Amino acid sequence: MKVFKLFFKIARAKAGIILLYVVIFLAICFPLVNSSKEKLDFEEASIAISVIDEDQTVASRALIDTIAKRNHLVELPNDKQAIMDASFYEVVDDTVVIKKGFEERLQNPDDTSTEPLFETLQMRDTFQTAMTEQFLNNYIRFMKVYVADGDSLAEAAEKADTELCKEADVEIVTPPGAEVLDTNYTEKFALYFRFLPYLLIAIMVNVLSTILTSLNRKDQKMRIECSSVKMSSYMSQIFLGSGVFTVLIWGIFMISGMLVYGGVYRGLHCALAVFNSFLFAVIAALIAILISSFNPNGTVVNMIAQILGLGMSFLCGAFVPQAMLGDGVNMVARIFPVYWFEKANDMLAGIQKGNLSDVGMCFIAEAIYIGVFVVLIVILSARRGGLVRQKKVVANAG
Amino acid sequence: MGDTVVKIENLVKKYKELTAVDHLSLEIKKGEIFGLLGPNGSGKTTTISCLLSLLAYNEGNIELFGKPMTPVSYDSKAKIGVILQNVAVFDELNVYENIDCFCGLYIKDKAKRRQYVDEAIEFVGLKDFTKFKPKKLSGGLLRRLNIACGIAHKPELIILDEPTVAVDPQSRNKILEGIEELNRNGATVIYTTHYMEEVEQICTRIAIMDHGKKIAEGTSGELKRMIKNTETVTIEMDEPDSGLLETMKNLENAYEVRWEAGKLKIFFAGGEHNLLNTMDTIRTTGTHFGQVTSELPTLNDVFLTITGKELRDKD
Repeated sequence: MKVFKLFFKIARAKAGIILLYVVIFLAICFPLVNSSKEKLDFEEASIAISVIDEDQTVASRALIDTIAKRNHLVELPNDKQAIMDASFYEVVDDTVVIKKGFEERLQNPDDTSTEPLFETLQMRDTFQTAMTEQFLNNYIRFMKVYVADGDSLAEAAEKADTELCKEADVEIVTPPGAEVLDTNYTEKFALYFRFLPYLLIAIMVNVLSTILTSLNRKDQKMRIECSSVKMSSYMSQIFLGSGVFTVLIWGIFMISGMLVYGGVYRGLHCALAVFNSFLFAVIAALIAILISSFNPNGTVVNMIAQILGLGMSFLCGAFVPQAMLGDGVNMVARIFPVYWFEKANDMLAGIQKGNLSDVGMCFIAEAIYIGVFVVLIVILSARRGGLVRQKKVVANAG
Repeated sequence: MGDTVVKIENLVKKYKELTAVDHLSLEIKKGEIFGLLGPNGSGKTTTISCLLSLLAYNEGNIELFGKPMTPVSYDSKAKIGVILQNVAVFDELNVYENIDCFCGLYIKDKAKRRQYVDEAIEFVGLKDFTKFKPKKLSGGLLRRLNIACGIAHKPELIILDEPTVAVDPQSRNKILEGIEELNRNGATVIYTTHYMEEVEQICTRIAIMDHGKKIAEGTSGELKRMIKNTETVTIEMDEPDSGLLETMKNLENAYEVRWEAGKLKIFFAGGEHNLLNTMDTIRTTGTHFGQVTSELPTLNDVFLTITGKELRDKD
């Protein structure tokens, strides 16, 4: 088992890279997973507004009351510098100055003045200032309509208040066809698994690929070929080393997954998610073996790892859920194994429509990738390596 | 078969149209340091690769230790130590681990291996560098590590393919002394190089190769005797007149006199005291002269005579 031991001696030299990936991943994952909500919720937006009332009338006070009902009212002195400072330091999102003559102009149906009824002061245009602007325009529109209809200012203000302070009728629904299949495998847990493809590809390509490249480097391999170690034994020890390495790396992420989640895996869907991640770990390992058969140097390996890892992760729904990607993107993504991993993961967590047989189809798709990669590796090994050469030499010797 | 360690018969290796090794036959006996000398591209490394079954060949037979050599001749492979042209060590392992790793491909017993590795480290003088990673070693030390990895398991046949390329003189001497010591300890050595001085220094028998063919074989003395020239006397002087040139041509054993680049060269074929005779003659003519040197023929002269070109033409 000398070659097997050599495999892990070289792997030991790469332990720093593995540790770096694991630590950074967990450091990002912990807060990300724990800050995510188990269920979607709706909350009305509330804006910090200060109001300067230059009119001091029934109508202006009614407006202030309506603003206060929906927003957080902040008291500021009527000083432009103080207002701008408060806006700069984000004490307030917006400041509304109700101009003198506000009430008088609201009551006058023939008012044709282009002068605004109020002024808003802010350091920058934001979503909140746009909302304030829209709210005030609606208020004035309502007021003018009710006053024109014969209502008194107080009545009009009350009606406008009722209209504008209506609670939004929000109903949270799951995506069409989606069903929560297992409460043990929650969205929070699925989020951890969703990021795994990037990590597995990055580590496998960066580490496993470089270990195999070291072992298969022409000069080193020639020296081993000259030795009394049988090539079949050499290959099987490397294969065994790659397998054990893959299981170890996958195992690290499965254990850290439990740490992130704060518990052990329970239920069928958790087990299937774990199996899904194992299938993908095998795919990532095979990609690494495939890359190593071209004997690339370290820089190229790193470049390939980033392109493959980031590219597939972005395209296939590891960083952005598949439901939020366009149909065209999802169609293209189907040719990559990450897509099927993410699809199965989403279905298991109930984020996407699908039952267990659909999940099984994803597993089959991943298994097909495994088969394709194995065939490619065998063909490349035969072409590049000793098989063809050895046959020739044996024929000659015979 | 007796004490024949390597037997190559009519070996032909072609790369498409190029014939890298052309009907080469060699027989190397136990205890020899056999030099394979030739310019770059002459087919030395290809021959070694075929010998080790690293390359398929088109024609011929190769026997090692009396048995046909194939990629599955593990018994024969166990008796061979290989030091290839390029340094073949693992950057991720330190000096000790590298030697232990390659020794471990042959020696399973841990205690024995530890002893062999320590001896190899001592032998190549890397005792102070055992914890160093290869990247921290100088070129010479790296070559020594490469050698240690190839000889730690105490092979009966050691094949060294240009082990002194890009090595400083001190390390080169250390390597050459080491090879002689390995040979004294019982190993048969095949040594390929394009440095004729190294071959002359350590090899008991030499084959000279060019364009994949063996063009000469024998001991250093036998090879030199293949050519007419036995001594060349060079005299620094002004251009001689025709009378002096004629006088020099008439010297006993002289067969050619040439004046080039401010030097008069007199070529001798056999005989003794040629330098003394030359000096006596030149004094009697009253010719003024500067530095005088006498050179014995080198393997380069042998190569030049046979091929019409310098051994280092392609270096």
